[in-house]
Amino acid sequence: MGAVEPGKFERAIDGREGLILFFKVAGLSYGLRLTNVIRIDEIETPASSITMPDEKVIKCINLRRFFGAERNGSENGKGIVIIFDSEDGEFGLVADAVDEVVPAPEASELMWPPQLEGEGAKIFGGFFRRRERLVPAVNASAVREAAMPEGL
Amino acid sequence: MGKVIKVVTGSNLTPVPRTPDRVKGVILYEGKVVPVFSCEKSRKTSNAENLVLLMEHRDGPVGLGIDKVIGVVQNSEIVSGDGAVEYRGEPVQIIIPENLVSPPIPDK
Repeated sequence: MGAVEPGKFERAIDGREGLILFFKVAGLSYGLRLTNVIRIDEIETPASSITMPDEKVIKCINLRRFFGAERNGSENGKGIVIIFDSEDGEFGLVADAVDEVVPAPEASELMWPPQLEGEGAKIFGGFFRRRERLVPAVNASAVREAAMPEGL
Repeated sequence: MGKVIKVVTGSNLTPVPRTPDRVKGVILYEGKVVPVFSCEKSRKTSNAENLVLLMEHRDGPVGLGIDKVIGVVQNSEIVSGDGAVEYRGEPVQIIIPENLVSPPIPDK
């Protein structure tokens, strides 16, 4: 599976258990296992919440702010929201764009190096190996836990 | 800190948010994730800094971002006195790599 075109996110969600989503935030790539993802939508940025088709409002975490990018929203004002189901309710992560969706075996996961301390170890937990580059593997629950006190 | 392993290009360095400012990012070296630290206080360094000096560490290799290697010398060639350190008449700053990985806690 290659790049995901707009409007074709449903295909990624259908196979979520065995897929990894690569997405962009402020020019950098991040990876995410699609487990617990219930929806991916296009969105105008910056955004702090999204209204679902059933009028339910879901709070979103702006990954640009969370990762310390200088701009809040993407350069073209468009982005994506990845919505997760969790024990504490649904929440969304707002990123700039989907990069591609690949089967899990195409991107092996490497552990976080023990020499590197700090909050990043919780937020990422490890890295996906993709085309001889390392891509931080986002732990959505840890992002939510860290972002809530910061009001992001 | 152990010995120097080698100097590699830093072109595939991946920046990692939510890490200390002294961390420039990580690189892939022989199938392992290797953290790369900066000699400077901020990770925002010049574009000229595109090499990584790989060194042994008890938990695995670590990298130090550098501009270039100007020489390898014996400790005996380093002259220190009055708090200053010189190499061939020029002042130099000695970096203790262990302190980059685990900075000492400042005195209160």
